[in-house]
Amino acid sequence: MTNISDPEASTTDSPAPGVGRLVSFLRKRAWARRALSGFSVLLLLGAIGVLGYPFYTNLVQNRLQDTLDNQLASPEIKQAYRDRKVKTGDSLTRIKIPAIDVDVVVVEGTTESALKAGAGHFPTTPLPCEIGNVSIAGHRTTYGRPFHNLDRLKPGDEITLETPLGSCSYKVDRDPFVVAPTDLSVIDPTDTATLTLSTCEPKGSAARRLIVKAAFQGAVTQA
Amino acid sequence: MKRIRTIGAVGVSLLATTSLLAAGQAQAARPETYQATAVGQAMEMSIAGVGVKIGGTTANLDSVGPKAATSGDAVKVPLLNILKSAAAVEGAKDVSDTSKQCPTGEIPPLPVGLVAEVSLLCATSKAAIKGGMASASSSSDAAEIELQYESLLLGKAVEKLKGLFSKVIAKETDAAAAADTAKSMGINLNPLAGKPINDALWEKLFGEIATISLLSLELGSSESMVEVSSDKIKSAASSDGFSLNVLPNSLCGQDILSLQMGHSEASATYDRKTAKSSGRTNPEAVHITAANPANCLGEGKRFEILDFIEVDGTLHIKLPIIGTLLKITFMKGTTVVTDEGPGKLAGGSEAKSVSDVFKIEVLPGLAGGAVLSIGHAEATAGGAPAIVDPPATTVPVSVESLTTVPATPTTVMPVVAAEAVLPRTGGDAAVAFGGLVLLGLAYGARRLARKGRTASV
Repeated sequence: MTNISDPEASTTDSPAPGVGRLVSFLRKRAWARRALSGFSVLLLLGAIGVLGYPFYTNLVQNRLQDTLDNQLASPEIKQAYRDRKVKTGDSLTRIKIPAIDVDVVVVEGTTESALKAGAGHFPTTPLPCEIGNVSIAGHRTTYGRPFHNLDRLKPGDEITLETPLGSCSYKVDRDPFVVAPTDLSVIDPTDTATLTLSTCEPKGSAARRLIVKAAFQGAVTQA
Repeated sequence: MKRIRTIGAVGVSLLATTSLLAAGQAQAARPETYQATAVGQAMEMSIAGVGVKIGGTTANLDSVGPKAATSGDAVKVPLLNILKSAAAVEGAKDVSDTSKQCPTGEIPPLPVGLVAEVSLLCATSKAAIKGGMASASSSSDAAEIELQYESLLLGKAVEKLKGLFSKVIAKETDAAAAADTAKSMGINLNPLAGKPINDALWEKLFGEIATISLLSLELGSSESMVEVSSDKIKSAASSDGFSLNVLPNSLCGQDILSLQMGHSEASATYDRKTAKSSGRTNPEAVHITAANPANCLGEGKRFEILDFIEVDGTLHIKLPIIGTLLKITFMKGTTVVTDEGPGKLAGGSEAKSVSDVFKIEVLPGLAGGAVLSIGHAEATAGGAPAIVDPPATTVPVSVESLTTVPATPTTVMPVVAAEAVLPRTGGDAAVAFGGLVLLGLAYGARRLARKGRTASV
């Protein structure tokens, strides 16, 4: 019986007792070595899959944005918008924030599925450019991470919403601030036309939400 | 452009008018509507929606008909429906329907001085309509065991007790005084007060004691009930994972001691006069009660010995990729009252109560995942009053055309469910961490396999 004091098993970097026992076990059993090798390959594949997940989501979002881009210009979505019947997951508006290089199509709805597009409009809030608190949530990481640098916005930065029926602009009117995920007061109705952007905070965590508030400036004439 | 705007404005106005007309029609005269459901489920184990349900009952009531239906399944497994009892009635005439499934029947007495009544996989369902009022109820037990005193052995003890008691009251001529004496001995003779004590009464008193149950055990049982009365629509469900009663119904109809584990109750009521609903829930992990002798004298209630583990909550463990990994619900009872409900209950009210003692769900998003549930009960009751005269249609508010960005935008919003929390748009750092862990493990496993190979050479 081989034990951990086996001189053959001793090397300059002598393994821990448990590892030594494992090595000893593997030394005698070729099938176990093969199984472990196979397992390590599976683990490696799993690691590649998991580490590649964010890139995969970016790919998904990118392809989705192409489709949504075409949809936003379609007469069907224009009619649906006019009828206020845009379905969850369909194109609603384009959001442009030059200060942080954002230019994505926002879909209707903030479900997990809808947000695969990158950004989604809270369906309980008014449509873009209307009076009230228009609210949009966007991914901070994964799915194209459109709101990755939302924390860099400062008062005066411009935000443009391009709807199927027209465009309007907003200006950030206060520094970004952080709230709890349960603090729904940030999307409460307002008497004036405002825009609220929401994303997760800090990056990589869903512990809190980062909020940006902007005030309505007026309609934008399209070229 | 002007033409397009005009067409848009006309279109939207037409839509608004049509919807208002439709709303007006929805408000037209109609009879009272109501509905109720009750579901009790003692235990459930399933993987991907396929599994075993133990002690399940349902009951439904609908004003259309009116009709009532109920069913009970002591044990429900896929493709096997032979253990189901079901009853259903419909119509204005008095009618009733009863069904009982108890395939195992009663098991013969045990030769140890005790009599055991054992029934397995039994379910009973009853539905009836009487005077236009429908009701339905079901009960089911996966197992029910009742141990009784052996009559002959007890008979001797009863004879001795009878002799002793006779001596005590022999000197008493007043029957009421005899009853008082009995009370002082801890025996309830309230029904005897003021009555002459004769053999018939002795037989009644001691005969009942002689056939009393010693123990009763129930495993995986539930009950569901719905009923309509002149002023209320009621639904109630209860379920027990396990219950034990010591000397059931022995002291003035009370169990001396009862223990319930995984007990859940839910009830909902719709008041037909006020058109309001209410409900209550009572999930209990362990509940122990004892009989109170004072109750025999018309005072006091049962002693609540233990009614503990007052936890109410749900634990979620989530993984970024596969969604919810684990969801544990423990001792959770919720009642939601919805006024101005949709569909047939529009303009009325509905209450839904759900009570769960314990529920664990593993990967619920993955084809149903794996579920283990103990003590589930839910009850819903609701209704809407009759509308005799349609209300006057109000003049429609003009809706602005949306063909341009509105200068004074409308605030009309689509009707959707409100958010519970701000949506999750991040929280993926764990993915990277998980990937690194997997990478480390892969490296470690590879190195170990190589080391083993080197050592074997």
